[in-house]
Amino acid sequence: MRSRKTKIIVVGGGSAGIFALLSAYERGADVSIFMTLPPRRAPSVCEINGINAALDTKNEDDSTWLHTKDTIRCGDFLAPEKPVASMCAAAPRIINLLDRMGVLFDRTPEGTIDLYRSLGSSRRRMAKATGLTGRQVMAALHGQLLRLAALEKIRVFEGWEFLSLVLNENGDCRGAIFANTKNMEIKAFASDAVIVCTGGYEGIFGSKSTNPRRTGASIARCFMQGAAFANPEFVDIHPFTVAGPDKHLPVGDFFITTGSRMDYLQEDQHLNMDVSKMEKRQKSDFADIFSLYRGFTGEEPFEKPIRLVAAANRSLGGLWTDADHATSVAGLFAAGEASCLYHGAASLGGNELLASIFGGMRAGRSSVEYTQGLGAQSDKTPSSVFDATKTREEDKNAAIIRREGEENTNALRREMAEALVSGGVAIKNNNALKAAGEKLAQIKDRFAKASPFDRQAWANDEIFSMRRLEGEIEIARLHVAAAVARDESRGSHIKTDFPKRDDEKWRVMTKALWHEGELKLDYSEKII
Amino acid sequence: MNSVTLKIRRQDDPSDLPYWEEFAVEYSNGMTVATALKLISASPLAADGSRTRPVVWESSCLGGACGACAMNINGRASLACHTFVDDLPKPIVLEPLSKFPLIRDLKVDREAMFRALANTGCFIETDGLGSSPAERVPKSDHENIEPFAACIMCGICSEACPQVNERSQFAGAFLFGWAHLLNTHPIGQNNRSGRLDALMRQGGIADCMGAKVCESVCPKGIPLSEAIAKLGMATTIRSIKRLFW
Repeated sequence: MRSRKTKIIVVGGGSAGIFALLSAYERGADVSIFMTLPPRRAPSVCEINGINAALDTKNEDDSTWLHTKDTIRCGDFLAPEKPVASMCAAAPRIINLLDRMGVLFDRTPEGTIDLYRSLGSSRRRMAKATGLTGRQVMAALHGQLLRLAALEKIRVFEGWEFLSLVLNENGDCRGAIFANTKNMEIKAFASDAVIVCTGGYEGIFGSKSTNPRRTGASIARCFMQGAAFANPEFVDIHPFTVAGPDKHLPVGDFFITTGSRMDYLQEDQHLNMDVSKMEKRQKSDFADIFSLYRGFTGEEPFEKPIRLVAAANRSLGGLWTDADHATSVAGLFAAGEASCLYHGAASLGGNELLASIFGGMRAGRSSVEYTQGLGAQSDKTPSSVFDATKTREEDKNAAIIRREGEENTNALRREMAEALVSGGVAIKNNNALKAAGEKLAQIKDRFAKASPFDRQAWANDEIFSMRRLEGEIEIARLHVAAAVARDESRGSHIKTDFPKRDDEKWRVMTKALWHEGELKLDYSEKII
Repeated sequence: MNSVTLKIRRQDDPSDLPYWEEFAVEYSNGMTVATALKLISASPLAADGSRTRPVVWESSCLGGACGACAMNINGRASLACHTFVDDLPKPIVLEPLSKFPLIRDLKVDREAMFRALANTGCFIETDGLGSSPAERVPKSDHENIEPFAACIMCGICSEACPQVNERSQFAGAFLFGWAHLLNTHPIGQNNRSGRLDALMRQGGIADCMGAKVCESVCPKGIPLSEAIAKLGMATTIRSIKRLFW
């Protein structure tokens, strides 16, 4: 019989993180959540796609089995079937839950939740909330967080950045080290389990991505502390994005699925889409998408053709987990885009938030179940372990703030993105990838000579940015190395020198391990 | 090579004094103020050629959906990622939001907004993560409250509002937009009276003087004065009810 509550740490305040928190809290855990930004500013808010659920209200004979089938097929048979089936089965409940929490899903004239067909789906099953589904989900979840925090049922650490896991003598995770991004204080926090929900890594492609902020620095740190990484070579490419000065906006697919009359021409490697002839009703249905386009480009969508190009949209790999979201490090769990279970080689439009939410709920449950039989394990870890890990991080910060060198973090980060883009965003080939790999190895060496412009010990974003770059470079190198190794084309991984899918050899999960800078790729896990 | 001049009001920490610094960054077609700030981070050279520190500012989505990069641009509160350099007279003057405590340079602490939401009961109390069916909501009702769901909590309405200042507890129009949204939501309305009571306290709806600047500066075009009007009516009715019942 436990004498104290299970202590859980959740890292990341996006859709997966907050659901992990709610799920663990409901199971009686004492939960602390750490995030660098308030939930309303998390990258989850950018989700323009809706959320899929086989509600079958359109008389099309939809079913969770069909939803599962579409997901597996869209993922080009790289996603394991059981977790996908569980996710699709839970989807209708999740839509209802979100609706009750305050997400204003579009309604039909009768007043029930309206469903759209996303690219890749065989049925209409995507519930969408006008005004950006992601934004509304995060607003609702932020509300839940505020409510529980006001009741002092949970602890919220906003403006804290994850630096390191605390591993005991067995290599099990018993807490984590975080830094306050304002006063730069570094502190150790003990817990019986840690759930990492820090998002994906598509941002390593820089402005050639739809989310430059998501660079995977936190999962890189876990990877460098021994957690296996799955399918790093897979990054979902969105073929219909609008190029902006700072990132790409993935809006084009809505215009295609309306089935409205559009003319498009293909020039070079982009599409020019003319939406001016779209039906009036559809123009009003997608008014929010058009207004997003207007704000992003400063241009009117109906006055001249919309130029659409491919960009890195969403990372599909992440920390390897089993179906319960436990990573290869005992006591460490991962959910949302920080993990890799549901999308396979390409995500079905509308499954993204669904997978994050479902995964978060699962991980919350699993982490509490894991700790149930352990006794107060984190209490058994001597404080010297926490102190040593904390001191190590403090020393790293102090070292970086003092560093002298001629290299510039932002320039290196930009060059890293350029190297990755030259290796191929949508279309890759081994020669280009290998050349990119060499450039990345040089960038890694040059990083050792990078020094900060800002040496202040208050609100110093640059120091954190520099520390993140170290992990980002490892993920970039991993992505390229795994892409070189996988000699086939599957889903978003397209190689001109190996254009066919090779199930016999490659219907396996890529599992990567990092040890002192060396990457080891394992392919023993077959997909079933 | 064309360059763009920016004059930025900096401050190293809350207890320090502010100072101005001028920068010249390379112009590119379609660039935003966010682009310019990122260029400065990459190469923080002041306009006189001296090496300086990167300008600290808050950003997340870079696409107008998260509200992080709100700041004063040429005297008007706007989102840096959605403000195009081409549309601005030069030099571009950047200052932090003035109605929130400063952290450093252009970064401010907007926690007060979320505290106001929490104190006003601006959340929905569900039974938990279990599942019960979603409500039927008439499409017209839905369309009436949809505009309020666009709020990104950027704080621009608070920045522009004359009633938000050191002498008052008034939080800003975002609070009313959000409270109105939740009061109209089928499950949110269970807590309607609690929210109305909270809004009748000091710093609540009675402190709105009807300037309507909030509505004109909102980057999402939310009809905030409509929310304020409806809440004004609702709180009036509620206070009468409380008097007699």
